[in-house]
Amino acid sequence: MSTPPPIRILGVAGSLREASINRRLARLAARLAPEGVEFVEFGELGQVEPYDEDVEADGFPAGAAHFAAALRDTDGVFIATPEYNGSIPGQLKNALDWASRSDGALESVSGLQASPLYGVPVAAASASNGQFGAVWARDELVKVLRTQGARPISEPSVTIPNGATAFTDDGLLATTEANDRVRTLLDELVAMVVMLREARATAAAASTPAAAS
Amino acid sequence: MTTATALPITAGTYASDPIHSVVNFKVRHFGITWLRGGFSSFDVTLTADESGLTLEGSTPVQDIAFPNEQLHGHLMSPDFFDAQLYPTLSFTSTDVTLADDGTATVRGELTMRGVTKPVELSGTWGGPVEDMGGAQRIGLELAGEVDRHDFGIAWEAKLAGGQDVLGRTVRIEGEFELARA
Repeated sequence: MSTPPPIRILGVAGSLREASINRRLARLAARLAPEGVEFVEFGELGQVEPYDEDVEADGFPAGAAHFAAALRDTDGVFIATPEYNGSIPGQLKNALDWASRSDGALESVSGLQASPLYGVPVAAASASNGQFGAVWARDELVKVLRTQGARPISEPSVTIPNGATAFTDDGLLATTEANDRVRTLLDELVAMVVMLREARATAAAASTPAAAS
Repeated sequence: MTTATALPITAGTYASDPIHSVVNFKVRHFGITWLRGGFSSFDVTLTADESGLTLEGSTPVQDIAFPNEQLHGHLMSPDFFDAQLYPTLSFTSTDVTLADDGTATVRGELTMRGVTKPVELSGTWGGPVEDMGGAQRIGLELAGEVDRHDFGIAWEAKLAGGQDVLGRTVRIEGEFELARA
C-alpha cells in the first residue's frame, strides 16, 4: 500500500501589503499546521486580473490562471482576510470570482463543478486593527465560499482583534488561547481534507470492475 | 416484509425498466410554485421470496437532473447534497404491502447526505402482465414526503417579504415498471 501524498495547504492573505497583519496570520497558520502538512503561501494575489467575461472568453489570463493552478495543486486553503468597509477586500473577492469559473482543467464536469475552488475545504480567518477582528469580513468570506461550492470552515472562530498588539515579536499570537484556536481551525481543515480523500478512495474502489463483482 | 403466504406476485426479482420508470421530486419555491428535479439514472428492484417483499433502490447523486447547470453545481455542493462526500442516495424497505384493492404502501429507510431516516411511501400497483418477451411485469406508483432538514440539507434564504426561498418539505414521486428476471 503506497503512502498517501502529504497534505498541501495554500495560505492566502486577503491584504496585498507585505506587512499586513493578515499575512502574519497566514504565516502563523503555516507555523502551527499539523506535522507533515505542506503549507504554501500564495503571494501573487495582486497579480490576478480584474474578472471580465470578455477576457475569460479567451481563457484565464496569466494571473488568474496562476491562482487557479495553485488551487488545483492544493488539498485545502487557509484564507486570512482584513475588513474593508464591512466586507472582504475587492482584490480577494476578484480572485475568488475567477476561482468560481471553469479554468478548463476538468472535462468530466461542467458549470460550477468545473471551477478550481469547488468542493475545496477553506479555513476562513480574519484579523483587524479594530476591536472586532474583521468578523464581518470573515462572515462575508464564508458566504462567498459557500455560494461558489467550496467548503468554508470557520469553527472555531479565528477573528483576531487589536492587530497592532495581537502578535508577539516572534510571530505568535500573544495568548495561548488564540494560538490554540488557530491550531484547532487547522485541525478541522486537515480533518476535512482526510475525509474527502477517503470519500474519493471509496468512490474509486466502488467504480472498479473488481470491486463491483 | 410480508409473510410468504401473502405474496401477491410470483416469487422472483423484478428490476426497473429505465424507459418506463421515473423518479422525480419537487420542493416549494418562493412558497408559490415548485423547484423540480429528477433522477436520470437509478436501479430499483422488488424482490419477492420466502421472506416477503423487499423494495430497494439507489442512484448516483451526481446524476440528479436539474434544469440549469449552475443550479446543478450548487445543489451538488456542500450546501445541499454534498455529492463529493455522499455520492449515493439509497432506499431499502422494511415493509412492503401490495394490497388486493390495488393500493401500495412501502415503509423503509432513505439514506441521503449520509443520514438514514424512516420514510413512508404510498400509492398504487398493477399487474402482473406478461410482456412480449414472456416476462411478468408489474407497475408501481409511489409518493411520499421528507423534511430535507432531517438529512442535513438546511440551506435557507428569505425573500424581502419573509417568505422562504425554498421549502423544507420535499415530495418524492416514483413510477416504476418492474420486470421479472
